[in-house]
Amino acid sequence: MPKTRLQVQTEVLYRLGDTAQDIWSSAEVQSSMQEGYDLLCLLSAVLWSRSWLDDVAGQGTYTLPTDLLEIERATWDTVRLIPLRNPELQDMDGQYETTQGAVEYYAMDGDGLRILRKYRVPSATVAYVAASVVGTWGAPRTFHEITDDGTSGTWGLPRSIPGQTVVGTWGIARRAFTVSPDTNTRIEYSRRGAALIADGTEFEVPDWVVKTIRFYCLWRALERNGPGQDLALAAHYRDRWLEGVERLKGRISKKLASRVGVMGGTGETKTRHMHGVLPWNFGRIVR
Amino acid sequence: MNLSELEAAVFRGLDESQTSPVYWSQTDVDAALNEGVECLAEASEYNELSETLGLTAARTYYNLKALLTVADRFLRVTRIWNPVASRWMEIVTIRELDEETYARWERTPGEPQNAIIRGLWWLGIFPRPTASTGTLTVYFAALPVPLALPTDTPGFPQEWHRGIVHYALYDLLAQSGETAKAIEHFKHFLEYQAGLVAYVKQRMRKDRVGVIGA
Repeated sequence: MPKTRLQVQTEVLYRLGDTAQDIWSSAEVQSSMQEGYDLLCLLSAVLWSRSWLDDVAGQGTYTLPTDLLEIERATWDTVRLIPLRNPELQDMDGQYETTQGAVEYYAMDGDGLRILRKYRVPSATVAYVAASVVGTWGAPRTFHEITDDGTSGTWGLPRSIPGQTVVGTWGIARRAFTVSPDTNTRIEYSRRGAALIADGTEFEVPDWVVKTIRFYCLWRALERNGPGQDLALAAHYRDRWLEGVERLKGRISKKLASRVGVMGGTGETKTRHMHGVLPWNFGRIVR
Repeated sequence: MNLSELEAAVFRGLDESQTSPVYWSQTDVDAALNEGVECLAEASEYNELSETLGLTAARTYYNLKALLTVADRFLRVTRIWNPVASRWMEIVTIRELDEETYARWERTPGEPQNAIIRGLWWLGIFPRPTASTGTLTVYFAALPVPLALPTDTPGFPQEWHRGIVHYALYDLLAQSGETAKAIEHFKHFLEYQAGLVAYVKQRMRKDRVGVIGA
C-alpha cells in the first residue's frame, strides 16, 4: 500500500521524538513533506505521464498541464514533433503564428513559461471518437483501446482513466467511451505528484522513494533554529536526501543495463538496424 | 543471521534488555532492521528476479509497478526475453526509436524486439503486439520482502549481515539524539554497503578476464 501523508508525518515526528508536537507542528512537517516531494519529482523525473494537448482549429498556443515539469517528447499523429526556438520558426516561416496545417514542430520559447506553440497551427479541432463497447451488460473491465495504463485492482468499478475526462461524480458509465484520434497532439512529460492535501493522500512514488522525502523533512526540522536544532544530524540527513535523489536519478537513467559499451567505439549496438537509416537531415531545415 | 539474531545484536548494541526493553520496543528494532535491509538492497540490487508479463494487443506501454507481483518493490529492469521470437529484446532510448526506426513506430504492429523504459516503471515495446497472447520474461531488480518471522534471513551472504545491525543502531540512536554515535554506526554501515555492492557487481571477478575494448 502506498504511504499516506499522515503515515510519513507520524514517522517524522516519531523520529524527532516529538509526537506531542511541542517543537515541530504537523503543519511544519507537512510543508516540508510537500516541498521534498515536489523537489524529488523535479530533480529525478520519476513520475512520467502522457496526455493529449487537444488541437483547436486556428489556435497556435496551448497551456500545459499544471503538474507538468518538463516535456520529454511531443507527437502529432504519433510522429515526433521537433522542438524549435522561436527564431528558428521565424527563419522557417515568417507567418508561423498563423500558418495552418499538420503539426510538425513545437516551441516553448517566449510565449509564456507554461505555453506551448504548435507549428503549424492546427486547421481542425480534434474530434473524439466513440470507442466500441463490447456486450450489453456488466461493467467495463479493460480499457486498452483507450489507455496504455494497466487496470488497477481486480474488483469494483473504474473511476478514472488517465488522459480522459470523467463526466460526473457518481454512477456507472452508460455511454460509449470516447477516445482521441491519433491526429492530435500528445505530450509525454515528467510531472510532480498530486498535492498532499489530506492526511489520507497517498504518495505516487514507491515507499522506498518516500524514505528520501522523510530525510528531507528531518533535515529541515533539525536545521531550523529552536530547542530541537541539531546541525550535525541535520547535515547528515541532508546528505542522505541528496544521495537518495542522485541514486534515484541514476536508476532512472541506468536503463541501458544490457548495452555493452566499447572504449574507443561509437557506442552503437552490434545488431543490424531493422530498416534503412534515413539521412540525418531528412525532413529538417538545415542551415 | 536470522531476524531473531539480528534483533539480539541490536539490543546488545543499544545496551537494552531484549526481554523487557525500556526505551526501544521490538517494533522499533524490527522497523530499523528492515529499513537497513531495504537500503542495502536498493544500493546493491542483489535481489534479482524474473516474471512473465502478458502482452496486450495494440498496447505499447506497460506499467510494471501495477503488472508485476512485486508492485512497489520494483527497482529496475535489467533485461527482457521474448520467448515467441526467441531473442533478447534490445533496450534502447526513445530517441533511437524516433530516429532509427519508423516515424510512426508507436503504431507499427509486429513481434516486439525493442524495449524502452520511461520514468521508473513504464515499459514501452516496439513493435507493438497484434494479439493478446504473447508474453515477455522481464528480469529485474527488486527490494526483498521485509523480514517478519524470527527465522527469516536476509537474501545476501552473512558476511554483510552486520551492516544491517549497524544501520539499525544508527537509526535508533539518531532518534534518541545521540548524533555522534549514530553517525559512527552509519559510517560502518556504509563500509558494509560498499562491500556488498562490490560483491554483487563483481561476482565473476576471480575467474573472468576482462579486456578493455571487448
